[in-house]
Amino acid sequence: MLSSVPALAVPAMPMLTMPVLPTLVVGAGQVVRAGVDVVRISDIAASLASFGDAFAQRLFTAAERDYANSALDAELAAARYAVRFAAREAAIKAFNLAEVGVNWRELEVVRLPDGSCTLAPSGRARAAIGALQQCVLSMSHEGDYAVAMVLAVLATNEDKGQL
Amino acid sequence: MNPQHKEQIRAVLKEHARLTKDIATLTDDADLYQAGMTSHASVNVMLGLEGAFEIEFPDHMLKRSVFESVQAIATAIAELTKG
Repeated sequence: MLSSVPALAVPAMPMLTMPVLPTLVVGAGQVVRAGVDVVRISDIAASLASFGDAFAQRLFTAAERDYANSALDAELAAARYAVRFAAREAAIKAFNLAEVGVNWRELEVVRLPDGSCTLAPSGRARAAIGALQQCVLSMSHEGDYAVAMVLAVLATNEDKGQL
Repeated sequence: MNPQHKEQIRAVLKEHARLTKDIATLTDDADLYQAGMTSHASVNVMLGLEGAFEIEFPDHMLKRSVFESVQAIATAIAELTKG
């Protein structure tokens, strides 16, 4: 039933108080933040060729490397690494982590049994994100491009006016 | 700060940063992201610097601002190679 779908209330916000980050106020004490990133798969393949295991081990968890390396060919493996790289960059944007200083492996993409993927922040990255209530990750690749988008619902700290 | 460091940094940037401008035309304070360095290229730069200087950037230094200019990189490397 359409009537059961909660309406997305977007309060009017004066321009001067618009947040710099792509943030949507969806209700009392909640905001949605978005992050998106696109990367050339051939660039990731070049990094894998140039830096060898150092690139993959520095950025990706063992589980992510195992999945990417299980691909039938190097092209698909590079695509799997590329979407996961894009997911990290999208997460860094959505969670405003660019100046926090986090290990990329702490922004792991976890593949669920049904084949869908989710983001599993941990450690320093998870601590910096704050009151995360929901996180949605979507990834895709086509041709030489890989793209990822992260949508996050966070609780706001109304006392301090911060997340 | 070792004066040779900036030359080594510029060599790494020339190889890995994929700038839209010649690194030789940029000042030490020039914004490398504005000069075309992508987030992916900055990872390559980081790995290139680690190989060139035999260092490892700790997690707390993996910030956008640490890699935003030759000067910022030189400051970070000076901190990692001191003593």
